[in-house]
Amino acid sequence: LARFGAKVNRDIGKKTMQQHDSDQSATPEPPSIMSAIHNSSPGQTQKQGKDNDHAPLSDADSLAQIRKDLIRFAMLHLRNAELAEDIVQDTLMAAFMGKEQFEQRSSMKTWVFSILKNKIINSHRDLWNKRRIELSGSADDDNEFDFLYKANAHWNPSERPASWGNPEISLDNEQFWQVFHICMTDLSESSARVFSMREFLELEVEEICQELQITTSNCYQLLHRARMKLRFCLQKRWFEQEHPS
Amino acid sequence: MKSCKEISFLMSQRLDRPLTLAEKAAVQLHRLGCKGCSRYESNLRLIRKACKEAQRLSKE
Repeated sequence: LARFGAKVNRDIGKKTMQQHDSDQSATPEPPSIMSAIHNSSPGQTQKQGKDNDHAPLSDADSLAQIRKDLIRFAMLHLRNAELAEDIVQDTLMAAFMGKEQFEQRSSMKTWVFSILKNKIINSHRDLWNKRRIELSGSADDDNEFDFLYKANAHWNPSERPASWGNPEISLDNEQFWQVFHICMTDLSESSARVFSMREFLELEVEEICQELQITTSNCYQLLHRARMKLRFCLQKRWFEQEHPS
Repeated sequence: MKSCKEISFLMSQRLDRPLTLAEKAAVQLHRLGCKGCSRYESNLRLIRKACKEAQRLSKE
């Protein structure tokens, strides 16, 4: 926590400077409010005064809760605890900085989540650019699922997709979700990123391509691979296993 | 007739873009005669549903 506190204070310095650059009239938040993000003790949050009465961010309990929710959401997308923590910090920071603009909106939670969503997209894009994974479908990637097919490219009888019975039941099963997350972790980095932008952030393929600077056919390939792998994994690790329903 | 490999790719793309008339016809025709692919498609539908559910659960 101390480490985070230090980071927060550093970030505040950075952010307030940026704010000054863009808007001279903006009054930066005092660090004491920021520390409420971490050490959400009631004493501290009361100091925030009446200008954000309607905002649950000023209430220690709802702040802790919303932080937990944000982290869980970020984990689903980023599959990395440290990264998720960082991005949630940034999100809460941005929420504090922008809370004047919030005012008329109906749900604080929806608003904060939309900030997080944008930050996740940016992070996907940045990481993507940093690594610049070779995407144009390298040979081994293309052959990854060849064992599923016979020479004539029809299903190998032993690997033919099976019926998943009444799969709806699985969605109520906590163990299913554990397996689901394991299978998500098994995806290669590039297809996991594209898949999560498509299925969890519900972006259109065009938007994903624009963010990541890849072609649409590349994107379809990556999504296809992700689904192939996820289906195969769920098949082996869940639907072919004995488990209490 | 298209192979299962090609059809499974089309079934995935169907979740991301509207298929052309010819592609739709190929998928429909193939599905009639291929249990593997029709199951593959319903597996994919469940995966999409699970993703929506995972997203909902993580926001709750």
